[in-house]
Amino acid sequence: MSLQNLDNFIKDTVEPYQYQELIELVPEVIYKISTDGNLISLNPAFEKITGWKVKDWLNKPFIGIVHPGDIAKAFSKFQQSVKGERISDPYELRILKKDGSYIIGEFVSAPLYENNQIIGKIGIGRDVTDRKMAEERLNKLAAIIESSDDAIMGQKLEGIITSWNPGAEKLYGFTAKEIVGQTVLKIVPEDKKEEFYQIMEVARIGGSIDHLETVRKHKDGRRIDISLTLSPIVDSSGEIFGVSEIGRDITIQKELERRKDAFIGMASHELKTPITTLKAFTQLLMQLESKKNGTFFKYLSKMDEELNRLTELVTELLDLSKIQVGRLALNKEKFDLDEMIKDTAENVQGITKKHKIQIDGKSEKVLFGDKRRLNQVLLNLLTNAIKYSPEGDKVVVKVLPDNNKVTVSITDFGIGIAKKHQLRIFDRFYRAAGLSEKTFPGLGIGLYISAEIIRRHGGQIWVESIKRKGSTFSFALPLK
Amino acid sequence: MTKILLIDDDLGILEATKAILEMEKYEVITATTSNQIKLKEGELPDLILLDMLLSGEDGKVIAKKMKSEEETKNIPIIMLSAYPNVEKEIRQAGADDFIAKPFNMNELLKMIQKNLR
Repeated sequence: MSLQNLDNFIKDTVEPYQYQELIELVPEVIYKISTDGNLISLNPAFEKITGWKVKDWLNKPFIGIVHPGDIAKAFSKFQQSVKGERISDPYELRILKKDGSYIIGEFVSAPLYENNQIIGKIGIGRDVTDRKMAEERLNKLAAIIESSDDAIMGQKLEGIITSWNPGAEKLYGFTAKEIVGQTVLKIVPEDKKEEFYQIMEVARIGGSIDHLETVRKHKDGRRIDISLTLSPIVDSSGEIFGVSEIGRDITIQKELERRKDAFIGMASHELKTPITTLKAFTQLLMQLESKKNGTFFKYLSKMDEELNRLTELVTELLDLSKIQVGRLALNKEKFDLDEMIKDTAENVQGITKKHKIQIDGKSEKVLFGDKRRLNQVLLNLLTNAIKYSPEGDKVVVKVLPDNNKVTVSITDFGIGIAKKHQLRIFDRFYRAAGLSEKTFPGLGIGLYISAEIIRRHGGQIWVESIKRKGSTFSFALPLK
Repeated sequence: MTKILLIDDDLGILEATKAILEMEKYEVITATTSNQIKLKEGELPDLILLDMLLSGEDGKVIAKKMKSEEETKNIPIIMLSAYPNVEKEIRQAGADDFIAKPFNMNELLKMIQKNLR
């Protein structure tokens, strides 16, 4: 064989053979279509991508595998190719899979020649469904972010702003152009910087912040109450490279809360002022009557007792509305628990002649808590003990200190509480008394408030009781 | 006689409290606002009972002022209020003690004695 012949041999036999091998290997579909529109060649990738067998479509019109909505486009591209045009700008067609669904194929194509004659078209198609879907999801997400009323921004871990939606423009006053690339500290007020560093630290180690109520600063300097949600942004390898921050304007909620607070305070004041006057006059009359051993004294002291009840009811109602708006504030201070128990017991002893209040044990602890509120709990439990043991003659207060907590129990020897009521007795408005049972005065919220106060101190409250034998209410407070 | 200055804008409370304090042998001067205080030249009370919320006036401001002036700074001030949870702020204003309205006269008398000591 001459050199020339060898060349020709390689060109005619070996190269086509190697190309054929590549055609069998590539992940893209390589196809040929005759001038009359039938598929005349398909490589194995076609089977892999569409689920069809090659023989299912060989010598069949290619149009049959194209989505009805794309047929016009497919046909015009086919026309271009068979007229001799190369189409190197990729175009998309939806292609039918064997399972009835469609994939999005991206195609380039060229005329198919034989002996310098166009005998059809040759093309390459690949499956871009996943990429297209991801793009679509991203577009949808972008549209949501664009149209959201919440201020949404992206930042790098060191706090440089990388994206800024129109919601953020509206809430903080800066345009994206002004602030992207700047530090987020521009919108953090001075007194919230420490908090900001802390939450960024949380995000840096992959933690999230959910609905943190905080304050941001508007471009004009004004403070804005916001609810902040922060999440780390991770790349495909799981590495944290940024933080997304969603800020929601809660100015209106804050204002409503403030107004509600003001209303509760005012209502308390307005309701208690006339009671104060009534009580002052009643006590004046009591003094006058007792000086001359007058017969009206006992009626006046009954009036005074009723005024105490009225005060208690007003206080309970206000506490209830405060708990509901999460506004039961604790003013914590150090105080002597034993002294408080002794004082409260003495005060309650003053209103009952029938029951002897007995204190067993001492805590010898200084507690850190809201003295007034804890006093309220003790008062509630003691007056309940008296109220629900009309036949009893004593109430025992037991103080049990421990290494890390102190437990106070109040035991009465009264009507007791049936098992089924015991768990729910700390619920709001829950009254154990059924219709058949004797009812007792009160709103049924005292224990709910007490339980809330104990819980807010990180403690526990519970009841043990035997019907017709008596009840023991206990609370445990942690020592810090 | 121990002199108590009682400032409250509720006339009923003023009247009843004054009567009870007088029964306890205190001399009582009443006022409904800080402008109404009728003290003779050079005369000072031994103790002040001061309502937190007066008509158009803040009792805390009055307390702060009295506690900042040389002449009055040693006079014990007990503040009264029907507002719950104000003990902290009234103590910040310089008041020596606080009693919540409605109060028990016995409790008030005890508190007066304690602060006069």
